[in-house]
Amino acid sequence: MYGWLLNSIDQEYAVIRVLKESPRGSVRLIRHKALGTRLILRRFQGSGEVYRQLMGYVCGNLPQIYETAEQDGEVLVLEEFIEGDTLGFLLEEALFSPRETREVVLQLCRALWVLHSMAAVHRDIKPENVILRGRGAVLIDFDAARLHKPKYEADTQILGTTGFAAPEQYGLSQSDVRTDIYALGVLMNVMLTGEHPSKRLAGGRMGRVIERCTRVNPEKRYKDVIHLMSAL
Amino acid sequence: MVKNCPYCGASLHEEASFCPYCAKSVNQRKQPHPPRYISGRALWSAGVLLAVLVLVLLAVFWYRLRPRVYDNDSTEVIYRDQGVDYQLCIAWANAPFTPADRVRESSAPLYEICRYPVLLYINLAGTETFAADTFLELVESITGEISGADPEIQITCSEAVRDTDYVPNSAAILYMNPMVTSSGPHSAELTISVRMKNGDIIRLHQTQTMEGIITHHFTSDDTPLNTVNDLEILLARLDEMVGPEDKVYIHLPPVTYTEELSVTGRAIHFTGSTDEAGNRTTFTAPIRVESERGWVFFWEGFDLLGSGEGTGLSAAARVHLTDCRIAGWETGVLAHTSAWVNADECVFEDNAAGFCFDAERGNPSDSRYVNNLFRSNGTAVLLAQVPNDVSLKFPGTRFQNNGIDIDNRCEQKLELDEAIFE
Repeated sequence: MYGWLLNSIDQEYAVIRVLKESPRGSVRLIRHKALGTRLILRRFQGSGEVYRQLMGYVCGNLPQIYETAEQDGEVLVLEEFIEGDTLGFLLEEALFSPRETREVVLQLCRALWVLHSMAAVHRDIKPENVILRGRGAVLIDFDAARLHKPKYEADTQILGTTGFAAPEQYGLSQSDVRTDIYALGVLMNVMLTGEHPSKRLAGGRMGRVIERCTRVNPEKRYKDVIHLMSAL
Repeated sequence: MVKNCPYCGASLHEEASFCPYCAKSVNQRKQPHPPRYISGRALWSAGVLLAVLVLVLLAVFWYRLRPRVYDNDSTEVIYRDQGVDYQLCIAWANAPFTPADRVRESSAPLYEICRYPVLLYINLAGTETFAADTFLELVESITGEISGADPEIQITCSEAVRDTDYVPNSAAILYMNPMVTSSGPHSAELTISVRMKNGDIIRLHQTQTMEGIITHHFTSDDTPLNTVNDLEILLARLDEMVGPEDKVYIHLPPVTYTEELSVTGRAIHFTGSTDEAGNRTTFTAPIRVESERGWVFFWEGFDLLGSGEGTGLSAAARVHLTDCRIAGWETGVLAHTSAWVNADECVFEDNAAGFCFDAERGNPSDSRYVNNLFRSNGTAVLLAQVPNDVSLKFPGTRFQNNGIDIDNRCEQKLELDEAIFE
């Protein structure tokens, strides 16, 4: 399957741009040579389990995953190209209002609900992994995502982005859905203030929601995204 | 290569979910629908709305089922239970379906404690059918309360009792015990409260107005009383001497009155006497008494002796005889027209008929005939017509050597358990 897919892509598609390149893998924008259809091709070392499961779903706040293949620990993923600007890019220009922040985060909650409902945790929610397409927000990059397995007491690898990663992602305990809620809290604060909540917490009602999202003890956070949506 | 793309027909890997040749998905996908969240504010609003709705429902429920107070400030209340309308009313015994007047007017001797009953009737509304037996099963309690009494009247109300022997078909009797300390009318308010088992309260009201009346005593020491003529003169002058509602006691000397005596109008209480020689107040000619008023004539302590003919006492009034001897008449005592006559500790003997009830009207003042002696009469008691279906009782009364002890022609209810037939 892996070889067949790689050969087909080589034959039918051309690389337009390398979006990301690291020792763990790469992300490329490719285009169908005849049809012009643009897709994202991911190649990385790790587990493709979350991508494989996402192939069975359609959600407006997640990129559509078309195909995955694995071989010798390397994962190949073909996914929908989301045309738009990342939050990270937009935040370089201006902060978001509480109302805009609320609308974006509610949509990210819907994306996370799909992930969480299949027992997956994103583990790398940050402005660069959120693309705004029109009024819609799409959560991308599941390279750090993993399925939550109760038998594991602590995560074995430090994944995620410093500052957005919850304390448990540093080995304090195994990450679960509340890990993503922590990162959503940080994201909200950054959208509103441009800074990590530990440095400057947003004020008002949103500040209280962020404060609860980012508590060190996962037990003290919102227990799931539905509760967070309710609070928002 | 075991399957083809459904869109472009290209050969695909058997595990392929995507056709890289035409860039279309070839697998089935689910579109999950995250649960619609309800914001806290909306939840709060919904909660408030729900609470208001529940409160409204509770209020409606309570309104429909709450204990109610039925109070018309009158002597009558119509109370509905399970589709049946009951009439609760304070009424007189001779008109149990007609609510009595809101103000009951009566009179009471000054400084004497009286006792009179107020009757509660419970009927099926509009049908003149007694319903106390059924209704009382729904009743928790019946109480009477006096309020707003004038300073000149001291009055208490007894506990409600049910005594259908005394007042047939009544639901309850409450005895008023007034004492008036000044002449003129005085009033107090009686409220009868019927507390239902379901919490409802029914209230009936009747103002008790009593005119304090003065008592006059006439004795032979200050008034000629030795003959019937003396008595008639006194009776004729009474209206000039005493008030119309005053109470009059005439204490008769131990003489024999040989003329017929007729007493009409106001109640006169005769009290006979016996001297040291054994002479006793005696009438040897008939006595007639008539009165449309409700007063009871209390007569005691004399003999009424005939010669075998006529009627000894002919009463069209309420008369209560005590310690009298009625003997030697064709009819010893006749209660007729509008009368109720009682006798306690009296002797009826040697009469063709000792005691005869033949009255069309009359309110009972007492249903008991206590400790009398009927001896050697043709018929001791003749009941031709008793104006009330109250059960007559004869506790301690002895019947000796009569032709017929009781001739109960009107089939009056009788209680003879404590009567003695010899």
